[in-house]
Amino acid sequence: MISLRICALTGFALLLLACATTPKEGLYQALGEGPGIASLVNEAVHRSHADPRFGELFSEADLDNLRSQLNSQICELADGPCVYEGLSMAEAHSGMQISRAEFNWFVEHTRDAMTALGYSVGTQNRLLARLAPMRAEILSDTDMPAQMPEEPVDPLGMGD
Amino acid sequence: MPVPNFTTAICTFAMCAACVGNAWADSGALLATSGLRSIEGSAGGGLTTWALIAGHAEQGEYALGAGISRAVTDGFALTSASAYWSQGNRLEVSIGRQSLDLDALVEIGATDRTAVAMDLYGVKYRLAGDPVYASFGQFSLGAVYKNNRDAALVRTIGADRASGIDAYLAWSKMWLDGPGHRNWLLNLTLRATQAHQLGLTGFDDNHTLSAEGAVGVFLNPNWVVGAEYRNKPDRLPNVAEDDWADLYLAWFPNKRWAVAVAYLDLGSIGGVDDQHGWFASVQYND
Repeated sequence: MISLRICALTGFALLLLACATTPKEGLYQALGEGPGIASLVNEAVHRSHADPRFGELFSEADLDNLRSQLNSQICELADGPCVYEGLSMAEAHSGMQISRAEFNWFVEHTRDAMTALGYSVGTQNRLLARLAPMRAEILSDTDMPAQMPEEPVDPLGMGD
Repeated sequence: MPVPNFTTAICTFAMCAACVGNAWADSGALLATSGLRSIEGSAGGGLTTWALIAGHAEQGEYALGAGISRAVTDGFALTSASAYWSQGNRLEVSIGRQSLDLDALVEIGATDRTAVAMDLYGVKYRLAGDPVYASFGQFSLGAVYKNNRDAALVRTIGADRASGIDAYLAWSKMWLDGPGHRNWLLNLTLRATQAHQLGLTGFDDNHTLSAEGAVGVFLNPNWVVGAEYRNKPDRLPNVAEDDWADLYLAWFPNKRWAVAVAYLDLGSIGGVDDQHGWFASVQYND
């Protein structure tokens, strides 16, 4: 049992060291700054718009406005030089009756878009972890407590 | 508490795995949240049960699936087959059958039976939360009724009963963007059990507490590498029982299929020490 503990501790310490000494790039830079975020948003919205499972959710949406809001929101979330001034997530999605399945499909399209555009798994995980806390406000009904603070924060304190 | 070398290997492998692997293609973000089929039929890893509900059903949907696995050590081979039905990511019902080949015991003349079989009936209920989106993770409560079909063998070994019930509280949490910018799955299960060696060597009249845990790192959404540890009671006076551990690699090519392989360390089984070996499982989700 002693060896198990020693191993776990040293292994974890080595891992943190390895990860800490990896050169750090801000998420905004990893996403390719403004142009990179714009192509990511275009691709994710395009894939969702083309997905018949969403019904009218995307086919009836104002796509230009949606892309513009997503651009500034992701830019801000990624610590870029933007301030998102749009509606809160709860306000923006009120009345849309978004289901958990629809939320999952959009996450999958975003993930697929990032893969198609060549983003690394690490960059994908960094962005999705910052988007995940919005779920509670986006869903029409949830059995989880609403945890979304006023401003998006890194929920796990992992920083960059 | 056997073999420190194995645990060292688990840690080294699992920790190193966190910093590699950007190369594989991937697809859906949530495709591994159904878990695998554990050897006891419920959603889990291989040796351990997790809080995840089998299948990809959301509210108002249901899911069906089945899986088969085989664990082969120097002296034994365990085949486990199971199927489940789940409702709305809330309730999971499973049935399973295990069959243990007793080659090692036949060889030393301890028995003339070549196999022992057990039926398993499980139910799991998600109490609260979500492994990905709730900060506290997901909690589930479950029970498994197990019936060993060879009551005579069980009595010979010295166990009180041929059937018993496990009850457990399980917790699962996906740590998004954890070490190495990877997503990590953590599982912890507290179990009240009557079973000796899962029940394959029978059951005690009384329950005792045991714990089991698993950790996995998603190299990408399709590949997970990790380790499991299962604390086991050791209550038969004449036959020692050890904790179990494994190191696993799982592949989720899509939402329907999943494949896992593992290296096992099962300690002493039926009086035969140092049972190491390999495990493979395949599962299908409707």
